[in-house]
Amino acid sequence: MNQARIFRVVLKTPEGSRAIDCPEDEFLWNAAARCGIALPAICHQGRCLTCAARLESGEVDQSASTAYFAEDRAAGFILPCTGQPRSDIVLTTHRQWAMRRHRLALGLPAPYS
Amino acid sequence: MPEEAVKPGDVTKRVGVEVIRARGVDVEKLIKMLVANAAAEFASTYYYYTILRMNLAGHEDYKEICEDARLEDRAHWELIVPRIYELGGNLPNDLKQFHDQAGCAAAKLPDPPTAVNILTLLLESERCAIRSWSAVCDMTFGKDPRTYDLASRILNEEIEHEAWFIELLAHERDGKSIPSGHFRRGEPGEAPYSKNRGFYNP
Repeated sequence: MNQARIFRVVLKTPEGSRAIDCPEDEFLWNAAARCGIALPAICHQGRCLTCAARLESGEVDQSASTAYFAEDRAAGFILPCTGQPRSDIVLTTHRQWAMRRHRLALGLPAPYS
Repeated sequence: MPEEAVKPGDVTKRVGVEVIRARGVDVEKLIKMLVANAAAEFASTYYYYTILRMNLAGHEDYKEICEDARLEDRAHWELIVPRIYELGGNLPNDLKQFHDQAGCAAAKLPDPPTAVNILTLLLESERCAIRSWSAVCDMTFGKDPRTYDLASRILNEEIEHEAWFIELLAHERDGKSIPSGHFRRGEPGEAPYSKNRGFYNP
C-alpha cells in the first residue's frame, strides 16, 4: 500500500512563522487547522479568495479548487483551502486583498471585492 | 467611533447606516459580502438547483427536498437584496459580473449525474452557504441587528438544508441512517425562517 508523502510547510503569518507537516492528500488549510493554526477561509471550495496566500517556494496542486486560474499561479497566489503540497513549501498567508486586486486587474472573478 | 452627524433633511446620508458604522461595522465590506452571498443564493444555487432537480428522476423524495432547498435559496435572495440597497449598495447591472462575485461555486450538474453525485454537490453547496452566512452573522452580531436578523434567518435554513442532504447522502451512498431530525416542508419552499412562517412544532 502506498503511503501519502508528507511535506514540510512553512506558514508565514502575521503572528510569525510556523512549520507544520502536511501529507500530499491533505489540504493546506486543514493541516494548519489540525496544528492549531487558524487561517482565514469562508467557502472551502477554492473560490472566494478569503484564504489566499502567496507561494514563496515549492509546488502546490490546486486541482480541487473550483476557480483557480493559470494567471493566479503565474502571479504566485495559491488557495490553501483546496491546495495540496507537492513539495516542501513556504507560503505567506493573509493575502486575500492582494489576490483580489490581482484578479480585478486581469478582469477575473474576485468575490467580495 | 462617534456617529457622523446627519443634518435635518439631508438625503445623502442614512442614519440607519451611520449608527451601525459608529458601532464598528465596515459597511462597505458588509455590502460586498451581502452581494457575494446574494449572488451565491441566486446564481450558484437557485439557478443550478433547478437543473439538479430535473435530473433526480426515479428519486422523487430527493427531488422534493431539492425543490425545497431551491425555493428557499430564492427566498434568501429576495430577503437580502433590499438590505443591500438600504445600506447604500446595489447589484451589478450585468448578470455575468454578478455571477462572478458569488462567494460559492456554481452547483453545476455533475458528470455523471448520479443521485450520489448530485446529493454530494448539494451538500457541499449548503456547507458553503452556512460558512458565508456565518461570516455575515459574525460581522454584524451586537452591532447591526437588522442585517444580523436577516442573516441568521437564512443561516437557520441553510443549516437545515445541510442536515437534509447529510441524511439523504448517507442513505443513498452508504446505506446508513443519519436523521436530519426534520420532516419535509408543509409546502414546497415554505422557508419558515426567511418568510417568517410558523415553524414545525405540532
